Amino acid sequence: MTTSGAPVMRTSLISPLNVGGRAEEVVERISRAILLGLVVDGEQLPTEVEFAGQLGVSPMTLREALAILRQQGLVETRRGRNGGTFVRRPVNPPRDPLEERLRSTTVSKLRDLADEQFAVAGASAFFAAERASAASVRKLLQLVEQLAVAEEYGDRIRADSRFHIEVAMASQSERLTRLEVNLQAELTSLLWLPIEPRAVLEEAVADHHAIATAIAEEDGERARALSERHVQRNLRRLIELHLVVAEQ
Amino acid sequence: MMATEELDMLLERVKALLTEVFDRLETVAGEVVARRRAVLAEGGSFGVREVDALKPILVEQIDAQPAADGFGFFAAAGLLPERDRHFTWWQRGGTGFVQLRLNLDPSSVDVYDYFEMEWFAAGRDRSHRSVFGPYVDYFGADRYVFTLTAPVFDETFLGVVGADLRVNEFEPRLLAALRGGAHDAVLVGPERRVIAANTSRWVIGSRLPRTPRAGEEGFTAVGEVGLDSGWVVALAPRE
Repeated sequence: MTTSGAPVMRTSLISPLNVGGRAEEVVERISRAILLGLVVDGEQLPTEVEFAGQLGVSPMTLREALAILRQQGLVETRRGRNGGTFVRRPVNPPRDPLEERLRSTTVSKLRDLADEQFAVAGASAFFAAERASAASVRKLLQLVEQLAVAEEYGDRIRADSRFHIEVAMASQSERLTRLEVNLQAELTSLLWLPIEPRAVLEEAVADHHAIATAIAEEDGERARALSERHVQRNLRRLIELHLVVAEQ
Repeated sequence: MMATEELDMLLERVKALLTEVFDRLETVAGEVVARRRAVLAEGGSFGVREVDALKPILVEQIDAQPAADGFGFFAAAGLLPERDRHFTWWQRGGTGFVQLRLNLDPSSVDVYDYFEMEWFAAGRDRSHRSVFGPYVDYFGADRYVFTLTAPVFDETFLGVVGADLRVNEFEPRLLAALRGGAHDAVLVGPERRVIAANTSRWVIGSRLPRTPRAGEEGFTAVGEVGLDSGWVVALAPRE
């Protein structure tokens, strides 16, 4: 019910865990969704029973996970008639866990993730150029603008990842969209960590703008080539960041 | 069969499929009007509680239409005494039905302002129904959908009722509607998007280079489905 690339995301974006998921995994899954802006600030989470069912964990595990998220300030529970558990998104995600993830993600793992993204983002852009609605194209251009003015790294993560998810959605493929959401959760939150001063924002904005323009002009081959180059640039950046934190 | 006769037959069938869903939306709309009148007649006010109480009828409609993913009602500005924006929307969940939650807080950057949405404006400003899709509604299984909406009026504009249909379940019916003739047939929506075809020449989701017109690009007959859908059926000689 959110036609034409509306700026809404929701808890159904959070995919179920494997059987026997632990509370830590649930925490990781939900906090990533919050930080990417897939679940929006102020959004009410489903009831515990519903949400546990959706995630494929026991209500007990979910309750444990929500307690941790509450401590981290990512959700808030209100009592009373309009009560429930609500998403509270900080401006920036906590830096330490992200740096830890960047440190422990090896170069070979980063390259492998980027290889998958090369295939997914390239194909998404190609099909988006063939299939995007006018509303999707408008939304893409808005998201380019949003990245250009994003000051905080939390804002940059959201504007960047939403752009790529929007491209995948514009491709009309559910499967490509699902893959891109997972890739964004893994990679984009690391990409904008303010670790060393080299300016990359302008480069990323120029890449996004070029991709959106190729999609608007219905030039699939160009959109694909630009997306592939963009993924490779991001990989170099991620390796640079990994090398910096791994040395510390 | 003449191409025009065949075209009329296919148009009628596609129209019947949409009509079946619009009839369900009219049932919900009628219920909104009737309940509001009843509450007002008793000197009460039609508010958030009354909107939320629509759940059983929404769930009933989803249950009765196998392709339906969700049904709901979005209130017009000024309809409810408590707040400007409010809606109730139910959808199929893993087990049972799940209520859709959206952030309607206008002071939040992430607000979902449905007053701004095309389908809401179509109902409010032009009294139009709308048919959107197919489009990917975010992530998760069976989220490639069509959305159908219809305005609710009782002298004044009360809001919009809507339904999401899963492409996976609706496509076979559209396909059946396009079969049985002597031509290649394609159903095309706004923005020249292919919705269904009885041949592999045209693929769902992709866009045609031009809006089909009879006598152009090999099309022999083209007709509008109507119902504010913006859908057309186009026939071409078999490849």
